[in-house]
Amino acid sequence: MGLHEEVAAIRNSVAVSRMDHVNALRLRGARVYPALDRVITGDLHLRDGQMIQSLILDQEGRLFADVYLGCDDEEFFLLAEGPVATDLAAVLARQFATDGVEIVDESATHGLVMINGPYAWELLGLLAGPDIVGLPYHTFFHFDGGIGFRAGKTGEYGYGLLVPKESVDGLVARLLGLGAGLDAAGAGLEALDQCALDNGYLNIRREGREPVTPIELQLQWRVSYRKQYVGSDALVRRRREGPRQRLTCLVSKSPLETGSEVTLEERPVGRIVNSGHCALREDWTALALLDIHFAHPGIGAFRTGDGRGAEVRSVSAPLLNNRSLHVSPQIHSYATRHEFVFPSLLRP
Amino acid sequence: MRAPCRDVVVSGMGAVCALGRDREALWKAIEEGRDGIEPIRRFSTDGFRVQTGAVVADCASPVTLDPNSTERLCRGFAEDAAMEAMRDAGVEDSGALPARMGLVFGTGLGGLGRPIHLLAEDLARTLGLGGPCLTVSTACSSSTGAIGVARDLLANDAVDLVLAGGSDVLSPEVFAGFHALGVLSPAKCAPFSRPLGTTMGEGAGFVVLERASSARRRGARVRVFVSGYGLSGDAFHETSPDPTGSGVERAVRGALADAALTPEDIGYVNVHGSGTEANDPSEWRGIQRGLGQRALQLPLSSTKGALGHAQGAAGVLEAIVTILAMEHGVVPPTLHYTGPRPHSPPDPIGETRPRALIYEHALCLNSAFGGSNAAVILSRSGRVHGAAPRRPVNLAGVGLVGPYGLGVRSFRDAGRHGDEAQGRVPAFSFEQVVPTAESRGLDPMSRFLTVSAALSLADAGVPRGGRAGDRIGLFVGASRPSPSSTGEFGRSIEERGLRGLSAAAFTRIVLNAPAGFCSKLLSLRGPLTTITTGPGSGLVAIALAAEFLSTREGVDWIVAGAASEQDPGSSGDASRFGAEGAACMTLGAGPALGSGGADAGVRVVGWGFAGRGGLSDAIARARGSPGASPAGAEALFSEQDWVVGGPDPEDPVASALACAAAVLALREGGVERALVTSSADRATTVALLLSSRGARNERQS
Amino acid sequence: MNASLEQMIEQREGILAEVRRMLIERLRVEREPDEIDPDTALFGSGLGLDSIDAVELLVCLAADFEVKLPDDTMGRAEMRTVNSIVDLILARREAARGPA
Repeated sequence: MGLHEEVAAIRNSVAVSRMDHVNALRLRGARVYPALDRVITGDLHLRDGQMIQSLILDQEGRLFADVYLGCDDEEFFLLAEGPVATDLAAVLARQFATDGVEIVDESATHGLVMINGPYAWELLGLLAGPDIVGLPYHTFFHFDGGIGFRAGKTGEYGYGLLVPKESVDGLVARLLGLGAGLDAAGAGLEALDQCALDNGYLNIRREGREPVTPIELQLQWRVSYRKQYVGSDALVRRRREGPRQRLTCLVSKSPLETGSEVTLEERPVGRIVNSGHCALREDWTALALLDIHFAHPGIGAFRTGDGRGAEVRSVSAPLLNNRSLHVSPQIHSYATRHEFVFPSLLRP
Repeated sequence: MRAPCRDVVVSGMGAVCALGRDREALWKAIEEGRDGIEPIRRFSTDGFRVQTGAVVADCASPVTLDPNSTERLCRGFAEDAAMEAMRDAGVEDSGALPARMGLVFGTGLGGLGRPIHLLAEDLARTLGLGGPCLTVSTACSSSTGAIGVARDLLANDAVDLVLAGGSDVLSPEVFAGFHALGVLSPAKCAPFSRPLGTTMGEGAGFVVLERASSARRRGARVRVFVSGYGLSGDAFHETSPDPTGSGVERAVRGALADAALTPEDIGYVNVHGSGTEANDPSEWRGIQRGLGQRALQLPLSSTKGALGHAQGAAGVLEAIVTILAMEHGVVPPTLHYTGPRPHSPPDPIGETRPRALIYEHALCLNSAFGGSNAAVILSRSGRVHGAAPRRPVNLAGVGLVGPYGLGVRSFRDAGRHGDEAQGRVPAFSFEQVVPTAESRGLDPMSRFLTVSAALSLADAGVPRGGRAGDRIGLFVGASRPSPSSTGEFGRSIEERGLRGLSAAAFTRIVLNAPAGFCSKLLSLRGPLTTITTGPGSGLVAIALAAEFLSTREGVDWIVAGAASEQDPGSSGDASRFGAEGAACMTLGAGPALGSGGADAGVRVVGWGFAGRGGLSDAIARARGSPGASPAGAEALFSEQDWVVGGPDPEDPVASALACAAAVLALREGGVERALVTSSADRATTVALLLSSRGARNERQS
Repeated sequence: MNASLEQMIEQREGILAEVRRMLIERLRVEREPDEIDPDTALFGSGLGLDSIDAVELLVCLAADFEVKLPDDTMGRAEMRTVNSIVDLILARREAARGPA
């Protein structure tokens, strides 16, 4: 399936993806909460059954991992993107050395499958029963053999299923089978990355690799200034100095390339750190770290390259009017979708 | 104290609602499949997207935005319904002593002016009821909860006869509030069908409850048995119910266990069925989880298509319709049903008339903002149960917040009187006490309650993470909602008009809002209720919690107490609402769970309720409990010693502080028995007997 | 630098400050203004506002900024991030100024 078709499935029906690049850890111990509190950047306002999306930084305040943390009775599970499993486990073990926290690396024993799309809830209902359709955002449930949760980075309904590794193939086949009536399709990492780009979700492997803090990446909603954790000092310093750059969303009718310089009135003002093509908008889309003074949407005078390159416009994220905003499990279904008039997927 | 009773019967009923001014009119309308939903004429609905409501006829003439007229209507409905119920039960000729006749009143917002407990007290006075007089205020589940509390009063032998029910008015503020939340239907309320949304209603209903033996003895007609009731909290969100339905499930299971029945025994379910997008599917899920396979075989229906959503009176009115239906050998229909919306029951009786059906037991459900769920089971006949022994109750933890600071030590160091008893709660870090809680948007009263509840659970050594919370309940006593929130609500109307009022503030002006927040933040999903008797509410909540715990299996702990907040911007001198703060006790049942430590050795050996001037009766009842061994030095802790503030104070917390002081004295070993009492002039007088003897032995078992 | 560009940037910064103040004071977002990044999502993740906040936001936008949005999913679709609110307010003020 081409990238275009995969993205279309995510945007219009539902796509099934293997998430082999995500690592799963289980954390236990009497002092696991305060230990995590010193490593995870966000305030851990978490009750049993809930998840939060947060970050782990290095001592310089740069991004190390993009994480979901879930509170499961007295334990926690961590789903992390960014570092490889062994690095992550090693970093945490070092941090938790004095807390007696047991770290169980589930990457070898468990696999993650995600489904994303405006009718992903319908597919989940077919798999796990109608009970699950009302699952609130960032909560999870246990089912035979694993954990199911509601989260995603595409702007559509999204759910994850963390299951024993040997069940992954069967689960994917089952989902695609059950989802035949929903035009379910497989979607790979590139399609997910494009959707994340178009919807303004962090990509730890692209802009997340830049030597900047969450402030430049507009991720302050994921960090707390009320507590101490790895990287918090650096973060506070950067905040006090004031960031000099900010991640800004750009679109163009001509190709945009990661690494290209961005100029404004022939002066260099930044660099593209993530790019792709949004077929729905017929635009090239990108994220650039720009001089903070100019890091605003609505500026049409940007150019790439030596100043004589493509015309580039800054815009407000997200780039799409996601169908999922207008689909309600109480009212709609894939089979009856043509009976309704949905607004366009495009935003200006 | 007698053994728990399952032989409580309804011997009289009265109803005032959009379908008619009395029971007969109500039933005639149900039989004919009529609804009471019409364009609202009482106040202007210009500028709103919805113009309809279910208003009591003859009360449709225009009124201004005036809390007095709302209260007048509320009281008027209540008086008419109550008098009809008492006539129906033949109470006047019964020779029952006034002091042995109680009132449990349910209301969401009462008159939106005076403290709502005054409504019940006025009503009790008018009706000549001199026994305990309480108000349950849990928004849309209030009167269902009131029926449950009434049953507990009978089980406690505090009354021979009790009037239980509720009243609420469709005021402009209520209409605008629900409108702002986006839950009103553009057409007529169509539960489980289309369009989505509810229709606001109003009215009052009462049932007369007494023991079957008492009814038979005086030749009163026994209509049905109230064989069980259950309570739970969703601990989810201020207005949206837990979408998995687990809260409703717990209430259903609690009621079945209380009635010693199984899902197969239930023949019909009268659901909350408000018709909103959020309620119906989650309630149906909860019913399926609670009744299993049986749910798919059962007819169930919502009466809200006919009556509208009568708010605090909904529970009792819907129970009355269910009782009338049982008597007529039918089940009432769900009106305006034109086909199912997704995740609906297979048989919602979507017909235009009642359907013939004979059944033994009916389950009645109601759910409310703040996540409180209540379930009552009504049965044609009573069963003879072996009286299950009461479980012992212990008082394992104390949590305090006040002008003296946080925690038991600050309280003790401050001494009993003096300046520390006045003023505001000093600034504290909420995060430090409850690190897992997101406290955005909490008013001070909710903060105080949550912190004090968390401290009391910690003091008791009770872990509350995970599923343990399913078995921890919360019973709160209060005099008035948070003044910050009611002020914010009022200001939003002044500044932006009814159409632009603050929906967020609207969710916080019901008395049970702090309990809802507290249960959510601490994941307490057991039985949840808020009661008010004005002053003394705290001790009433504590005693009710003891009663509930001693007769149930499905709950291990109940945090019970009270909270209060001073007027924002006030000088800090204790107003007539007393000093601000909160006091919570963690009560446990059966073998003590949690570490507790050496201090957790206080038993609650007896409790008693009585009406105004009946304190000595309440004390006698507390002392006469089976677990209370006679004699032994007994120290007295009276609410009166802890009341601060001007004359005629409304302090709900002082009585709970008296209890806290008693527990501390017992822990220190200065006394072995403590009698905690409300002040003598309360509408409900309460006595609680605590002991430190024998506690350690019990914990071994 | 281009004068009209500078003017536009200044105007955006001004409205951004007003929107941040509204979020903090009216919607009780417990953050300092500079902690609220312009592309932060409002609902779900980001600031984590819920359906009741959405009602309040609509009322504030109408009352304080004269931006009238429908109170259904169409309205919600326009309020995605802090920047999208700024866009709405900018557009409203442009429209109020009339044709140049």
